[in-house]
Amino acid sequence: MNLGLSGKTAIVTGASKGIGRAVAEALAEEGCSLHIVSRTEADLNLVRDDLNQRFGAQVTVHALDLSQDADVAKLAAAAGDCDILVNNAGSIPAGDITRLDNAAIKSAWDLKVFGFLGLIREIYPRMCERKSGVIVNVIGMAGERPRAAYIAGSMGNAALMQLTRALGAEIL
Amino acid sequence: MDLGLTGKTAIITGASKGIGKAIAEVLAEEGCVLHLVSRTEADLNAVRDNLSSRFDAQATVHALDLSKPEDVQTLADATADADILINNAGAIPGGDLAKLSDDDIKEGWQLKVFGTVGLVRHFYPRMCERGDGVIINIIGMAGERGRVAYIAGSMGNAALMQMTRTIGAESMDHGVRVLGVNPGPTQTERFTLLAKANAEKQFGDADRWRETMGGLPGGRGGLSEELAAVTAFMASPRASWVSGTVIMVDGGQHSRPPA
Repeated sequence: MNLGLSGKTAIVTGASKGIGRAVAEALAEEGCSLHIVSRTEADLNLVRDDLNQRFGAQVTVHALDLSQDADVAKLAAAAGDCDILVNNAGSIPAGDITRLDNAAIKSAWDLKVFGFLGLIREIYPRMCERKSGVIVNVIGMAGERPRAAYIAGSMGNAALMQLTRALGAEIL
Repeated sequence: MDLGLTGKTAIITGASKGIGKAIAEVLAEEGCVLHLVSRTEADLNAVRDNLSSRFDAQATVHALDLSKPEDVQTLADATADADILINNAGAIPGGDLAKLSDDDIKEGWQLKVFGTVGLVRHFYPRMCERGDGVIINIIGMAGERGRVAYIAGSMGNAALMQMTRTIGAESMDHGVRVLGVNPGPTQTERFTLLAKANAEKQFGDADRWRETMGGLPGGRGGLSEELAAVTAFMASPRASWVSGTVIMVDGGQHSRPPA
């Protein structure tokens, strides 16, 4: 099946390992130009070289910490006109409410919840203006099936799921 | 992307038109061997000839009425080792409880609900035994967002969604995936005819049928091909970790607040 992705530009956050890296590989194979993002430049360079060599993919590396507003703005300035945004970066630490105080929860959400939100705030309006674009949020099952022992993840993921549904169903 | 579907055998019910026909086309293009099922042999023959000339696909026609248990049995006997079963046949009539008697509702469910259950009863154990197989039920958004004026469809589709989740939640233990695809309003021939009739009534001009769809996401219904592409991907080994879920393919309509 020709997915019609050839020549599209995609941002993939958290692309240096795991699911993000696998997403980057699949998109590279389909002919996308990639902006790959994570905190660790050395890891990103390895992924870039690998994708370059295996698929001849054009890959730009962005070593940024998306829990920082300034870094979100930098990424948007560099790659904000992408066709596809895959928000994947972030893992929220486990723990119940007695173990995690509000400061710990807020800090956990800075990357996964507010990092997603920040990029969407920058990029969604541009996509709407162009009348074309796709945002995929890689979230996590706890948002649907919560666990007390993973309270910050359950809440944060539920918030991201509802953000996704609200924007994705928008009525003009 | 190579979906890895080449050489797989797929049964598609309701394959003579609309979403079922579009699914047959994509699977044929991907190299599947097809069993096409609907009540009307002539329509099926036309689809088969089209697929074999365009994609050189091997397709067998089964003119059967799956609302009849004996026809379900006939299909099951003829296609025992299918890798993929796409349950798509069946339209449940509209109407509220005042309009539909219990008998009307049972009759409305005979094809879509019991036809699907009957085929799953035949094929699921065989797939489990082989440790391989995919069942995709094409259901319908009313199962998630019920409407009083489509009460039989709302209830029947909800039942199918829950069957899908229930069986699909244990099926991976046997190497089998069971999942659902939920179309929203889809621009099939029937849907377009209805929109044209509405446009004739509203504007006195059937050609302005697209303007009657302002309430839908992006001002349009879904296309059969859009449903078919998602279904083909879900049927493929590339979706090997998807089971027990129902995927909405409706432009986001199911997440909209009630009008």
